[in-house]
Amino acid sequence: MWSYVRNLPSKARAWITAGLGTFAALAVAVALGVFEAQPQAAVSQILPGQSLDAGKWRIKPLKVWVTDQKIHGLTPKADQKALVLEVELMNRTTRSDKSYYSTVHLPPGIGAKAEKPMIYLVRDDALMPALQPGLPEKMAYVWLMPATAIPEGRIDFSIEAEKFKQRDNLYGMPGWFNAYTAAKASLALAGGQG
Amino acid sequence: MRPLGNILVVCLAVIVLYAMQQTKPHYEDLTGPIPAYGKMHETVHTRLVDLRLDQVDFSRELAFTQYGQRKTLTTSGLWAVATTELAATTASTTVAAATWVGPTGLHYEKTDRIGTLSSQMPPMLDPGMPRKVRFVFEILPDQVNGATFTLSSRMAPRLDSEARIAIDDFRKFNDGQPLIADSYDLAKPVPVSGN
Repeated sequence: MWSYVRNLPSKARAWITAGLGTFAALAVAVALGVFEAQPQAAVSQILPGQSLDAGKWRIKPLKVWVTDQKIHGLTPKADQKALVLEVELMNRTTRSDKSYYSTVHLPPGIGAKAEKPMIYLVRDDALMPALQPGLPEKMAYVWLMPATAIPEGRIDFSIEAEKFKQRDNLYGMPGWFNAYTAAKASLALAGGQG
Repeated sequence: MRPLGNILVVCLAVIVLYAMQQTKPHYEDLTGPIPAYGKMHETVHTRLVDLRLDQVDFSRELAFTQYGQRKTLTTSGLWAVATTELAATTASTTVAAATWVGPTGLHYEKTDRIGTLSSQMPPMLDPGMPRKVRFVFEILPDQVNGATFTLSSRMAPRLDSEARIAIDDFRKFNDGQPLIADSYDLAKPVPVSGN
């Protein structure tokens, strides 16, 4: 069998080799396409008051409301309102940590119009303090946005989590990588406060 | 006989190499901090800082005065205040990291809820001039017994010394539970003894 191949002219051998590569590339592309086309696992929904283990944090969304008054040390400008989301966060890791900034996201439509959130400890309005392992704390995410951009009804916040890796690929140190959307939390916007 | 010997040698090499691979220390362990162990009330020497852990107090609330305003911080856990005496060894330096390590390995870094209180900024230390410095931690109540106080000049020391002091002397009841005061006042001066 191999003697045939070896006896072929070099041009024919080059054609066969190149053809093999093409077919391999096609096979990989088809496999990737099939993999992509598979239905994605639906993102789970959580309710207010229900806690969820999302990577570093155990998160329990409590309530969301809108105000135009000073809230946790942040004052909305004349044409602005503040969207306040209260959550209970608990550090599930073994170290003090303050990386909860991107744990909660507004839906993209509203998020594009809102300013970057400020996050306060409800207990005494400390701005983005480190949270201690095992100590649940009530935190408030405050987004300032134009009064016209405030949505009505329910808001679907997405909760982002990261995966723990015992050794990263660069230094072999433990760390949290590969953020993904862990769940959606749908909260009814409470009115009445401003 | 010769081929069999060769096969044996290859098998032996595989076993030895596998054992070496499995027992190889990781980069993280090889370049970790160099611990300097000690007890309370005795001086522990690290490369840049000499320190002595004098006293540990626990309280439910933390009080202090900031910008002329009286403030009280509450917690769902416990405030632990470690009073230390620090001095630089050979050159002026500062202390970036102080951690309360609980008996189960939970790392509580010094709290940042106090904000910019001057007594809670990283202390400037000079050789031969010891200073009393208090570090405040917010911990879980079950992380008191068997805890360790660690201190280093950098945030994450690599191949540099880190003091690790067993917290073995604090006021407690007969059942081992710590005495927890209602409030600890950071505005009151640190008790200085001996001079």
